[in-house]
Amino acid sequence: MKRFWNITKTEFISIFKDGGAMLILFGAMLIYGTLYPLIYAPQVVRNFPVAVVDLDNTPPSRKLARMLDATPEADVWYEVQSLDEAKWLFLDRKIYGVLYIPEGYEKRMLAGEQNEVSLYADGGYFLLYSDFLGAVGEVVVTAGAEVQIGTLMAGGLNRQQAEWLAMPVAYDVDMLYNPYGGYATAILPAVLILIAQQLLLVGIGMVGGTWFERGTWRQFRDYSATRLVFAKATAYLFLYIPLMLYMFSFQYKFFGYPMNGNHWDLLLVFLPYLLSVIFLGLTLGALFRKRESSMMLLIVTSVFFLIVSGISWPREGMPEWIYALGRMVPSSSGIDALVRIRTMGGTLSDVAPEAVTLWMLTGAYGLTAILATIRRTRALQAVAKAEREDCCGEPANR
Amino acid sequence: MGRFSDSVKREIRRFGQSRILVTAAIIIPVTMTVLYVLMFRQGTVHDLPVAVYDGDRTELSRQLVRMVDATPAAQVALHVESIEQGRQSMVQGLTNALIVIPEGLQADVLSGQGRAQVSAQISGARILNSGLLKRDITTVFQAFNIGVETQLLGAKGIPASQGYAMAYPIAFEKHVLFNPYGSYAYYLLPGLLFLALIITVSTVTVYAVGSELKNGTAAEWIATAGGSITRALAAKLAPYVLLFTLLSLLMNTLLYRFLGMPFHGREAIILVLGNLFVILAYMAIGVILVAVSANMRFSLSVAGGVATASLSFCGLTFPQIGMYPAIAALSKLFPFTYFIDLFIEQSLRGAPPARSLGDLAAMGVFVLAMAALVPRLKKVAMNPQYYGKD
Repeated sequence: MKRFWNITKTEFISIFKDGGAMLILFGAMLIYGTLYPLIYAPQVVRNFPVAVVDLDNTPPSRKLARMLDATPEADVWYEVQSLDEAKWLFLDRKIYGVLYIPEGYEKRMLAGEQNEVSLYADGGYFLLYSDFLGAVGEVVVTAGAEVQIGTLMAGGLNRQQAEWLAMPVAYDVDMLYNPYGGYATAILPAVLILIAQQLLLVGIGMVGGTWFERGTWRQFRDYSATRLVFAKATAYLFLYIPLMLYMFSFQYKFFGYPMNGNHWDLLLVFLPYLLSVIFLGLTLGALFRKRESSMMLLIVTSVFFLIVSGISWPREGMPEWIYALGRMVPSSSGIDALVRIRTMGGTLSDVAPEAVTLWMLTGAYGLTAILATIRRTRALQAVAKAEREDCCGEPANR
Repeated sequence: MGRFSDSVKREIRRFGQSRILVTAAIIIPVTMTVLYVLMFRQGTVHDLPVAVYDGDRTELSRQLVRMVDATPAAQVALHVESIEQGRQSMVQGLTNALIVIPEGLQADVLSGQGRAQVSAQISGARILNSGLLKRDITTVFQAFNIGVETQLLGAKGIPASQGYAMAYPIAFEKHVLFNPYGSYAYYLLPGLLFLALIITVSTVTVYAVGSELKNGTAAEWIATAGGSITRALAAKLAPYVLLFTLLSLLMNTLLYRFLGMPFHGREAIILVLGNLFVILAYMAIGVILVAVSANMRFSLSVAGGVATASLSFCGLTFPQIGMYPAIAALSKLFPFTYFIDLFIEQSLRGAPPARSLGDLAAMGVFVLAMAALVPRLKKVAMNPQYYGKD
């Protein structure tokens, strides 16, 4: 047990005395954990500029334009006379949507004929596009209902009956867990979980590579690999559990993300999540020979891991085998499980499949970490043996 | 030219002997490119699983369920016995939404007392899924109302064609601009591929320059180039410019040829220039970091962080008009912002090439900034006190 704590202590000292590792493991977690939420902090885009091409220019058509202006999403900044003019505003990025009202709008309305308005939206901005579509849909339905009520009342119904007939089945579409459809509320929890993984992997890999560069491994070459792995893992677990709880409570509160779920359930998922990440990091760390190897090889994987988890691009949009392959990375199940607990208020039993996967990854990467460590200590033992045998001849070459 | 080619040869030899450089500059980016392309090959998202609670179980309620199932975004994957069970299926990650049809829907519609109602609860935990489902389910509810009303009017003796026009007085037709198949993948995938490119450019450049300091070979590097830092740096970076340009051409070939992404631009050359300039700009950031900090490890963490954050700042995920003004201003410090603007203008919007000259110039500024710091790089490179640091 003394040996165990000796390793843990050496690992702690390696981390705390190493500005580079500290920057990655703590500094970057705090910087990214604050910077990314700030980028997305406005959550939704309100009052983005749109144009109306009103070729009818009658009271009902002008009313339609006013109703669009009154939606929280869009603001009518320009009223132009042709689609061509609107197109130039579009290309200049002065507007992000166009509502086109054809000539004869009022006339057809009075004649009881169907009108068709058109909307043009920028397909490049998914959020703006869906918001604009939703806003126009809302406006058209409301304006349409008024027209109908007028027609039906003229046909002899009273207002109440006309309203019922104009909308025979009332409906509600509610967003759960994210009432305003905020971008940050949906994406940031996943990003924070992923950042923790990537920084742990890079940081552990950096310490592992540094131990190789500086010969720190030699000090522990006669230790059991299992003990080395568990002792090192303990050091990182002690560092990251408080950090993660800080991110998931203080940062959450600060940026106003939903804080559902039970803390124990959260902790019980964090445990296998962090352990599997740490063991994966120790596996890689025992393979790296250079201090910078981990950064060179792992930074570029971050966004890929986020996408493959299925949180920002859905599982249904990618081949099943890529999704399945992605499950080998702890962040995939970790994001799923932690978001469902924290954002959606799930319990441990709701995320049982993901928790089981994380424990399986913990076992698998624990094993690879031990194997990689054995490989490294054996190599060092062999070198040491060769040196002892050589000692009476030439001096050992260091 | 002799010294230049000697320096280039020296760099190519260094590259070939470094397992880490070959892995980081070729193996990983090519693998990721292939994986990304396969991942987004299908391009659109449809048939997201949703749960239905049908408490009515009449012809009318079943018709609504069929309409939901027929939308592009939703697929009825689960019939639940209670609202509670439907919510549970969302929390378990099995479904993305719950459609609730209360008992008595058909009877309420027929009674004409305005009591009939339906609702949908959509999980907002995944923004793309919830956006697609909200759009399609709302459309279904509207269409359902129009259908029911047409039938009710028919019962009053109004012929269906007239009844339909009455029930649906203002129709709307949607046109999605700059995105022919309405697929977000056309924007997301190029963004992700070029992001992988600039992260690779950043780390590899820092390593190629910074390892001369770490290994204490910087004086020899400059001596090989005859003492000229400009020649030394140009010869060092030239092979990587070529390599990364080839990588970007591979990405473009896959996007436009293999995936058949439409190219609406007039001049492909401006896109190629854009690729070249974004590569040069991130190389410049890497060189600047090494020159200023004289520390490879620190430069790597900053360059990697800056390159990765470029995606969030560039406006592809969250539009710049929605950002806080200070954050939007900060985004101008990332060359990727200009590149994505150029890419969207030229490739998807088909804007005149002249519109993107400003973007090219902005990326060029980063190279000029590097040029200003070249003397500082030489000072660092020639001073052994900076060697061997980590």
